Amino acid sequence: MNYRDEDLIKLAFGELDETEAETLRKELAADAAASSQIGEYNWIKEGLSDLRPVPPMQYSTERLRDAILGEGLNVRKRNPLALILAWTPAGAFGVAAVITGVMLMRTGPESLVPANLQSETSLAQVAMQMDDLHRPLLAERAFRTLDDQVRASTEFKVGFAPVAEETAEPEPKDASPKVRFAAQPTRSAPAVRRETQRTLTPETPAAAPVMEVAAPETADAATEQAPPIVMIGSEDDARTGAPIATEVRFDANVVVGG
Amino acid sequence: MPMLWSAVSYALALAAQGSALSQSEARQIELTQRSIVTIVRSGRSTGSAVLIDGKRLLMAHQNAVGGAPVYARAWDGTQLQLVLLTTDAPTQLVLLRADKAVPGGTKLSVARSIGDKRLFAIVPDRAILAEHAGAGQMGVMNATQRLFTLNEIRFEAPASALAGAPVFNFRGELVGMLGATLEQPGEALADAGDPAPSAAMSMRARAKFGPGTMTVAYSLTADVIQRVVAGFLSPSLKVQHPVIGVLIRDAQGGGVLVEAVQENSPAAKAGLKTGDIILAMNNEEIGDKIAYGRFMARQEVGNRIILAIRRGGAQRSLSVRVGS
Repeated sequence: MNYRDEDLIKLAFGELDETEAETLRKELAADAAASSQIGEYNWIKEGLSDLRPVPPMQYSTERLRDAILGEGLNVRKRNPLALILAWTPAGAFGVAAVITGVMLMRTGPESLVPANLQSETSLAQVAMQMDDLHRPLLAERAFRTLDDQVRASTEFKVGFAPVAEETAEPEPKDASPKVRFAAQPTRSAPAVRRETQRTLTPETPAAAPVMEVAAPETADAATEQAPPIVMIGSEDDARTGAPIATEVRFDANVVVGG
Repeated sequence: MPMLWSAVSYALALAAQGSALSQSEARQIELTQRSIVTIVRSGRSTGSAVLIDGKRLLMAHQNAVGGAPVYARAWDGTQLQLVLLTTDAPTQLVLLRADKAVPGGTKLSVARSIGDKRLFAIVPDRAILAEHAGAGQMGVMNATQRLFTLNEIRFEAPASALAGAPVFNFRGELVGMLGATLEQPGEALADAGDPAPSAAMSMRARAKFGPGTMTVAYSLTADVIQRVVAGFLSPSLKVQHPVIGVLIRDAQGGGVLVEAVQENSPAAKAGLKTGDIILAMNNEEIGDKIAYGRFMARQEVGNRIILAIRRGGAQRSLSVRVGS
């Protein structure tokens, strides 16, 4: 005979009245499966009674909110002293900036340069002071070095000088991203050469400085095209109790189903 | 040096402001917690279950449940006994029935999409603020090797019993359930067998902020959760995930190579064979397994798909009805 789970549970938990309970007990005596089931429910009942006492619940909105803020969010209370200490360096920096500004206004930027450096001359000034015999040799060395940098470097060169009108070097057909970065500097080698020559010619004012900015790594530029695939394994993380996930590259040789 | 100090102190001030919780947000958390129960095994809280019918049916992660019998504690301290009704193997979510109605529980509202960046997750006996850090990532469930779209969820508070922790937006809509956590920094990169992890992966693995290590977790997307809930509430209790019954991998030169075809599956019935290369589905180019996964995620059971395949150098078309 089949019994409804709820009747068996009520019997086990003492929720039936005496008459109903007695009737059901008699019926169950002849039903081994149901007797086993009721035994399991009795076991559950004992288990429930062994549960830890439940702490008083947070009926009040305010108390619950405090509990969330205090335990769940781990909010850091602001210590006024800590706040003052944290912002003191900022104030000091501000004062230093004001003092520096006043100095600049009164004495000019030279006052910030150490005296020993003020006496040194720039490369362009050296070239200007050299006689005609030495100037070509120095210029040749200088622009060959820059030319080599442009060809071999994987760094962008962002300059204020205009981009050369001369034809840029052809891009290799099967260039990997790394090769492409090397073959496409923002300024071509001839333009750099002309700038070098201008720098070393006394009649021409020196070109604007060149700012160098590191290019992104080419391997990463390729992998950023798609996010990695998340592999969710069957092992669990002891810390979080959740299955462990690892990430593999989107182009990894993974077999998937569907 | 003064500039550095200034930057650091400003960042600290911003971080402190970012964790503030408004009164309406706290109220939303309180209301949401009424539809969540804490699962208790051997006197220890092992996870959370979310009420999906407003009465007695609850959904949880199988890691939280373990073996029967399962007990639970409602928000007001009411003790419940839970019976495992069914398990959805692809998502590892389980359906439980409580021996009595969860007091004060309301029917679950599942979001259409994750929407907001600011979220909260309910873990045993508390709520934690979380951040939606990325959408549309594809994940492979090892148990079935099925591809699912995942959301990346991050939070700062250290927490245990995270498996199946429900994640909500501050409108009180369920946006996901945590299905896995990223392996700890260092281990992930060492064990992945990947000689060149991307900069993003390295950065994420190393990323830390605030006083504790950041936890990176993944949740199933809201559309998958909606499908699971619909299945659990159906008379058959069966969840219908769209599949055609193949194992695939990326093919050289584009498309996906069929590694195996499941017996009596829709793919087998349509005549798909091991070694075929699927090039397109419903005229949509399938360049790799990710494209395949995204296409299948949009399908419904019963849809008919036209596959363009290459077999032995010749191209042909097959018609497959999506199964589950």
